Amino acid sequence: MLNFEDFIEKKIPQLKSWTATHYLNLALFNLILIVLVLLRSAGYFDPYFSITIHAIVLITLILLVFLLGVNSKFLFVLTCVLWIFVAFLKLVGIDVWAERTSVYAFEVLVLGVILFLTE
Amino acid sequence: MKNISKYLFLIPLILFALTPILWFLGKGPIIINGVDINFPLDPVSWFERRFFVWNSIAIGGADFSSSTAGLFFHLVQVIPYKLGFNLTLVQNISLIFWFSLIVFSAYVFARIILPKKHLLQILFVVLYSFNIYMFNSWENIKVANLSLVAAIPLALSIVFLLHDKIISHKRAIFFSSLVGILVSGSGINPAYFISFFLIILLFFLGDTLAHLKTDSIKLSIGNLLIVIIPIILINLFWILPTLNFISNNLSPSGSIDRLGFTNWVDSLSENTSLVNIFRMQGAWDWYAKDGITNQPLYIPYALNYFHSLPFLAFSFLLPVLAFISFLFVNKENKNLYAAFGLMLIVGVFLGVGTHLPTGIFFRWLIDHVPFFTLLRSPWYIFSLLVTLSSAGLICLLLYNFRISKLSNSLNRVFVSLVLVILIIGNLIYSYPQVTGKIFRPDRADGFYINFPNYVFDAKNWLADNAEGRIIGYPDDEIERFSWGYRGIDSILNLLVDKETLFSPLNVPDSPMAILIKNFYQHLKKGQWQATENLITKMGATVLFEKKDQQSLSPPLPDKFQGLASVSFGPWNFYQMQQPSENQKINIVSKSFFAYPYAPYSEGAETIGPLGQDSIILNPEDSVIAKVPALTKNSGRIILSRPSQGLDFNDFKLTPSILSNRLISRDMTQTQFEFSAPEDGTYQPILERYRLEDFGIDLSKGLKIEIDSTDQVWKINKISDSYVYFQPIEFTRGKHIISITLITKNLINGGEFEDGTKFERGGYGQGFEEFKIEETEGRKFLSILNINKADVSANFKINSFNPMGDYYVELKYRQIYGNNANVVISQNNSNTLVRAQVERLPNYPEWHVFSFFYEPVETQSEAKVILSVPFTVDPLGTKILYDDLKVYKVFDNDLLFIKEINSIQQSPVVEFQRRSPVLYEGTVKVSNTSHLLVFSENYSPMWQLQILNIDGSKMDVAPHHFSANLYANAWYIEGTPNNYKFKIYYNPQNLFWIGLSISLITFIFSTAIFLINFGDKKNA
Repeated sequence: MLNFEDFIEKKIPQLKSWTATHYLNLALFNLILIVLVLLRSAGYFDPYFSITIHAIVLITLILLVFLLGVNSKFLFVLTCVLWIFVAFLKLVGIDVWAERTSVYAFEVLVLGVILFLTE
Repeated sequence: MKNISKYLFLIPLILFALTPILWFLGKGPIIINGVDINFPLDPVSWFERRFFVWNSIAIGGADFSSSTAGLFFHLVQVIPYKLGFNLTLVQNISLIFWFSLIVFSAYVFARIILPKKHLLQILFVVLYSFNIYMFNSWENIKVANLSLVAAIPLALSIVFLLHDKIISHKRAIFFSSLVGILVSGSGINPAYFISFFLIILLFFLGDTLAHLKTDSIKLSIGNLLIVIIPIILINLFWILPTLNFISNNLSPSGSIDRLGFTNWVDSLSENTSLVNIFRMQGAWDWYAKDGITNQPLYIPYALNYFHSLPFLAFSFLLPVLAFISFLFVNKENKNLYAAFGLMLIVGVFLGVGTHLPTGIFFRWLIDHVPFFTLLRSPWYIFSLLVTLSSAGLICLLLYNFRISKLSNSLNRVFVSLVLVILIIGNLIYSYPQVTGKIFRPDRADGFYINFPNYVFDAKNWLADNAEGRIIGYPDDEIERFSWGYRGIDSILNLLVDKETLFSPLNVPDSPMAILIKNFYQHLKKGQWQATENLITKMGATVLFEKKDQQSLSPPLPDKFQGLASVSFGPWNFYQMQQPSENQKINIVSKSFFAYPYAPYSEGAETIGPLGQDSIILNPEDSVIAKVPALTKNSGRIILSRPSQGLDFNDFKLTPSILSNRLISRDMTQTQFEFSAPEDGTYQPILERYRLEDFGIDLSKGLKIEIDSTDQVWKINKISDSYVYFQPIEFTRGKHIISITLITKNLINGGEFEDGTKFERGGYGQGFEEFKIEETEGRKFLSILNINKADVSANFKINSFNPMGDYYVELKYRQIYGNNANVVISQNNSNTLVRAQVERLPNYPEWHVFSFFYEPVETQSEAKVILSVPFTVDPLGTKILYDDLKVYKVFDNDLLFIKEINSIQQSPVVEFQRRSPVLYEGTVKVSNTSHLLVFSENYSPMWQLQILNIDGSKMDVAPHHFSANLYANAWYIEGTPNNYKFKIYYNPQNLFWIGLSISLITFIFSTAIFLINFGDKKNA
């Protein structure tokens, strides 16, 4: 049985190496997110274009592909995680959140399928 | 033994195919029928109707182009019926046929994508054939859905087999022709046929994107065409006339609305959230709930899917397995993953419809893509993409585990166990479909119907009797019989090929629907003359009374007791007119321009006073404008609505606002405003209905004020429907006529001057106090309610007549507590029929409040309830009321007729109906210029051909336009006194051309298949 700490120990060099190669993209990714949140809080572009949380999530997903280079598998895992969360929310009766989360799950699935077709 | 065990896996498939037997087990001689199901009790006539692109059976006829697509579906019913099986067995055979076909089709596809894995193949069949989408398809036995579901896997299988060169092109063409026949039923709603090609296209796209090589793409396109072309050719028999209908009758935007159909895309998309669509739970009727009990109104089993933990868990399990499938992609099947992936996201997106947030894009498509509005039931049309892709992805996931190199025997057992659990789990999850609960047994709105014997007796009688159209009564849009059947068309349409008229649910604004509504109004008011004139225009000769129909409509007037009738149990057929007096094709002697012709609800009112040999025409018609003789020889009829009636309509159609309630209206006068189109002598005609209620004494004529001048109109004649006055001169232009009314307050003691004359109402524990108080010589009612649920003073409305409309006015003052409520409560002997609640604004001074009430047209009583509602405040509610008045609204129309000399004397028309699209006959006229009327719904596609008496063609070009709001009329000039004619619905030619191509395609593909049958290369 693989020890969790051993597993992490083993993965840390890989993570460091990935971070080193994606350093600039990672910084850019974070920067864009911060800017988007700041713009949203300041109400920029309203009422012509509202930077909603939904829009930020969608942009984040797209940036994940272009800046961080995630593959379709990652997106399908994310779809599953979100969908299981939808199921949990539905079971506990929080329908509004379940619907919101299912929208994210669908968006990730669409991106995943598109990426899958291009891979 | 070994050979037998090889085929054991077929046993569950056969059992699945026989599922419909379970639906009928122990139910007796029932038929699954009602609402949208429409299982014919005479399958032969239903089959024969599919050979014509015009159906004259319902509401004056309609284009039937797309419905010809049901030819094969109804053939499946006709064969066992002709073999002498009873109707229950005929239906059972038909359902087993389609269920078997779906199971077979799914199995063929599963064999191709999941080779040699029987359990997986069974799982695919189960997931594809038993699911929530299929609940709805089977519940309504939807031809379009079943055809699509049966055809899709077979079509995809042919594409696959061609791609892998397992079958030859010749075989593929033959198989595609068969698929073309299967999918033909989807043409009944062409959106489903589009869905068929969308699925094929997405499959092709997925396959192409997975193998991006030029040669491969070329080959794939070739294979695709080999499949698609025969399917299209086989379906040309309905495609050609349907395309013709769409191009001539529909505009690219707002197509559905302009066709007169309700565009329900928004209401159907209310519950199609992504979370519901992924789980296939998008049917609108699942979510219709009783407002008080919160129980489902239509789908009792829906509660399990909403609240039961195992059902909820299973509904989420299937999508998550489909998503997980993408994590274990087998490269050999990458094309399948790509295709199913595309199908899943496109299917979910389209199935959601206009539900937000993706609904924004769907709405954009509606607004910008021509004819996109035809897809008004998105979930029902596109959910098959989700079903197919989910089933495919789940099976691919388990297939990969089964064929994995890492797979050991333990893993294989585990996967088999999972497969068995999924198969059984899905069958349990789909229990309404397996057990027949989708047909709601044991419920009043169930679909298991045991038709009484008198229905079949009536069917036999009708087959040889009752010429002319039959109009049903009561007039409810949905027929609900005491023995369980519910239908949105006349039940007679199931029985025989007779033309029927009824209140249509689907096209309530069509001209004929308006005329029918108008007829029922006059009938209920006992206005016999107007009723007779209307049925002449509508071509109705027989009234069909259904005493077993649950309805609030009042019984038929006594006048019917004097008519010749035939009875079958609670069904009576009254002969209202002789067919010879009311022919479908005739020549009229008088025509009138109706002002207004549209809106049709107003145009219809001009028909009532016109004699049976008259028609109304549209003065705005551009074709008529080109015929000066017709304009010159036509009279004029002008409708003028009373100001009280207009005020009532305005109130009814305006959303609830205070500005039209905080006023007092003068009910002692009504005004008629109209515009005379030209100078001349016009005969005023006033609707007769209960004029005495307004103090109008006709013995002295009618006192009026016209354009501020007093006049007395002398009476010419009076019928049960109208009062005809002596003609008077009018100049061209606008005129205003005022009539003074003596309106009676229908409430006793509403001014509280003589003590209490009301009933005390309300309920609940607490304290109440009713007091007549007086201030400055004025008496009023004071009501105090402390802690009671409700306290009220109830006043009966005297001489309440549900065929009239009412005006209610009162004064009130809210001292403290909750807002005052005024309720009109209408009850029959059994139940509350309608209650209109008006919440009065919080106002501490005396103020007037008024509103209108439109009763339900049923025998009943009504009362006004001045309510003082509960409040939590311990001081309670105190409200003062005074001067309660209820008046009848004067809603009698005033019409003006300008007569002309008749243009035709004693014409004779004899004709024969050769088919729904062809009528042939002869005409004898005294005047060579005349109007021929064909009482079938207007379409420019109806063509009149004039022939010499010897049958040779004549060079006469009749002018074609609409008359009587809905019918066809031709103005013909320059004919001999005797001639022959032919009326033909032209698009029928397209059907024959299409059918010929379809037959040739099928014969050709069968021939090349048979010729090459033994060819090994072709195997």
